[in-house]
Amino acid sequence: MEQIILLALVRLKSKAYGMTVLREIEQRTGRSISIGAIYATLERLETKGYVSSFTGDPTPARGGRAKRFFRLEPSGEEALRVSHDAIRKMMHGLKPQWGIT
Amino acid sequence: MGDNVTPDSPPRLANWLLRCFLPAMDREEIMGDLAEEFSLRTQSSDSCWSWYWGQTLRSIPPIAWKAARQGCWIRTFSVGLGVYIAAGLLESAADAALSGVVNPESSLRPVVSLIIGLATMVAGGYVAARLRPGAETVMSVIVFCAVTALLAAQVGDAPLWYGLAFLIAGPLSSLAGGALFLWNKR
Repeated sequence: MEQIILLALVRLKSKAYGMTVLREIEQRTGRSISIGAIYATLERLETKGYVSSFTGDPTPARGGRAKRFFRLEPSGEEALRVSHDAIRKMMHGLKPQWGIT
Repeated sequence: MGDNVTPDSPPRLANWLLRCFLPAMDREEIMGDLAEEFSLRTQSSDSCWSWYWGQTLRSIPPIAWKAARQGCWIRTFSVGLGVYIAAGLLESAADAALSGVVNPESSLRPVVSLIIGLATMVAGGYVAARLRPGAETVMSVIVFCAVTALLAAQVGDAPLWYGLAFLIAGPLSSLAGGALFLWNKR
């Protein structure tokens, strides 16, 4: 889940907040996910120093509530690279069995 | 804030649950995100209410678990328990003072005692919500558990109807006190 959310932040760039992250993941993976699970994971990533957050302006569509934007930090990018590399190495040699092209 | 009743408003009960169970640090952004998506969905589909309810019920457990791990719920529980004990002491003091005014054998006594008990629960819920959001919900659960335990153990000489009335109205009074605080705040 952490990896998927970090990848969503990479894709969304400056437009990343709870609901855009949820939409991005649902549209790309087809997985139904709760906004609570998104925030719980984002805050865990923030505690680890992988992401940072800041509050935007309140909008009428949100009932006057502000958005909380999330940004990927260099340590998060590095963690994502390490994790992707580990998966790539573990997948090595499994291509025929898993049908990976 | 954000709870104007229009046909396109999110379900009030769901919002109330979110207010009760989400810690203050997450509440505004999560409710804002849900309100934003709800208003988009009202324009394109008629399943927005079920979507909102689904998101509400599925969002509370991970956030509540995270809050519990961070110790937020320990503080909320402590406030709920502390206010419950204080309300109980106040009720006992008022009950003792009542003994000098109303004859303990009188049939009026349990009725007056129930009114005092429920009034202290409303006041307790109000204070709990003021001290910490969500503490009035914790307090109502404590009231329910305490009255259930007292009924099961058959402690005291109060009539059964008194215990049953307090079992239902006690937790509701505490929640009503919390709602009163939120209403006042708005």
